[in-house]
Amino acid sequence: MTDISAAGAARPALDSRPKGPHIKKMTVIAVLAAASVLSVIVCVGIGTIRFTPGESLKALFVADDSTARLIVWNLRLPRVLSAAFVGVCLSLSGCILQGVMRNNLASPSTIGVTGGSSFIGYMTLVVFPSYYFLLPAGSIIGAFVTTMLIYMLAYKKGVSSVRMILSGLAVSALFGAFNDVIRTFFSERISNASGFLVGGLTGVTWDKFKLILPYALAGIFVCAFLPAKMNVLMLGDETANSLGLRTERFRFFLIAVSSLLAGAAIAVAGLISFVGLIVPHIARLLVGSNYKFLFPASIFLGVLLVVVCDTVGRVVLPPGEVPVSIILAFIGAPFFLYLLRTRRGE
Amino acid sequence: MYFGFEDITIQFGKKRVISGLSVDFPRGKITTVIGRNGCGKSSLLKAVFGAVTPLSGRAVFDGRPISAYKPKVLARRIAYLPQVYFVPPDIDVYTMVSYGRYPHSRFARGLTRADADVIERCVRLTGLTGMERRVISTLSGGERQRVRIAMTICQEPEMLVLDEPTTYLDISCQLDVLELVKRLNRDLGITIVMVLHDINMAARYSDYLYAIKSDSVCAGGTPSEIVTKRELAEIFRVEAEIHRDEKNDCPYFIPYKNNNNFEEQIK
Repeated sequence: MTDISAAGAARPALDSRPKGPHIKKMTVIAVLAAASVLSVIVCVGIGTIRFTPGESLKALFVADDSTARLIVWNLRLPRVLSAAFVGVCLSLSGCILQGVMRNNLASPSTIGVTGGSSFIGYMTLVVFPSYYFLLPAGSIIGAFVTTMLIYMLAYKKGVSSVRMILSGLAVSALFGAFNDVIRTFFSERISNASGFLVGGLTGVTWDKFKLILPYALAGIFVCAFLPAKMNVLMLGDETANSLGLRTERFRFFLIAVSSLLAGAAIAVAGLISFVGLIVPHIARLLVGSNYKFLFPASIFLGVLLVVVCDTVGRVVLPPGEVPVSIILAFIGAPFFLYLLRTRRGE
Repeated sequence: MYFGFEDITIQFGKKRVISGLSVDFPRGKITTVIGRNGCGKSSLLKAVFGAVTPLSGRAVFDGRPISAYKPKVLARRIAYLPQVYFVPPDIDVYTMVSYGRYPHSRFARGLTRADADVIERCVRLTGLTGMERRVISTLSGGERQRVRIAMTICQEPEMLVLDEPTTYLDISCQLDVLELVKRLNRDLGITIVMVLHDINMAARYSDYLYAIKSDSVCAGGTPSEIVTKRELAEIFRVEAEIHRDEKNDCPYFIPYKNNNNFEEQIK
């Protein structure tokens, strides 16, 4: 071994290295974390019957027979928590996909993963109508197959935006057509998967939430160990390989993790677009592209965005509901066009 | 054999770039591979790190085939500076250099104090002190190259492989980079293997020059043995006037008209 480490005399204190920017980033993440917790507390109080945050907190933590407890705990909390998890899963999935494809326009919805995933989801419902619990597994497999497909179609030392978006478009259209066929001919068999059909969180119960919870938690847990490797992967395959990262294997693993996350979200909320695209972008603007900060920032931004948008959809046009996917599309589509315009060179 | 290639054949599609070549690089020296465009010198280096898969034959390091090493173990001993690279635009110098610690990292553990010491030393060694928090995209080409070299020596390698480290740099940056490479070799004993296009620079900074003459022939020797009228005519098809750089004690040459018989071909 070359003795770079033994060459110097006095050991400089670790704290002597400049730390300023990190403190700023940590602060941003802490603020986002606080805001996302707050959004959950506030949003369970919003609806036809309103509760103050104090009342909501009491309803959340004190198990009594009050109406507040019934409404907040049994009706609204599963929905708000599902929204939070959907936000986290889609955001992380988008972050990972953007790394794998080395392209900032990648996300579950733009490359057609959402379409493929819901197709396999539909298929499981049609083929095994009485085994509703298979839906998340089906969605995850669908997400994985579609991502691999797009990756193989579009990857060539980094994905060209045009090729990726076009293949995503084609794959989305194809699966969309299949989905329409299934919806038309097997409508009674899939009628119990309401949220999955319309792309929203209407009527989400604790049962449904618990169905996707293990998959979502597993995916989020794995993400905690990814940042260092993701950062190395971003240096390009040659550099990453020479640093000892098996890039092909790691990419495959990342595609599996992002499919797990996206599939779990799609199983509960159906076709929700743009979360996986917008959140990583905003996170990058706030904390930069180091995955150590990008992941946590994306997690909390994902919670904020989907929880708030779902609550807005819930109350904006009483007595009806606007599915969260529509609210997100109103925000997301213009943002996506803006990105396409400004990032043309990539 | 310390580092080299055994009977290696590299083929892209139907085009054979290297065929049955065996070379052996000396330990502790600076060896530069030269040759014409497309002669396969970069491909040869890429074959070490899996960016190019040889059709047959193998790369060898310290008596064992490269493929027998675990990637992280190899990365603690050989560092590689590819020609093409990506840098996330908003990453700062310190963070970038710290990525060189990846091969030493353990599962689910961040940078240790010892890591921080090495990073700090590499930053100092490459003259980047005070620039730790500068964002890479604000640096000049020469500074960027120094950051990349800092990252590679952060791996604490015993050998450093550089693929055209001076391309796109102005003359003063070229000198900076090559002086740094020389210092790494002399002070830290790191074996250097690199590809250069500028033969005068190669002659000045290398202990040995390896010239790839054809897909299967590689001539090795000291700069004085390779930078000669005959060899240069054979390798590059140029006529050369050889001079001696007394100050640096190395040969240099001035190339003249192409020996390729252009006139005859045109007729």
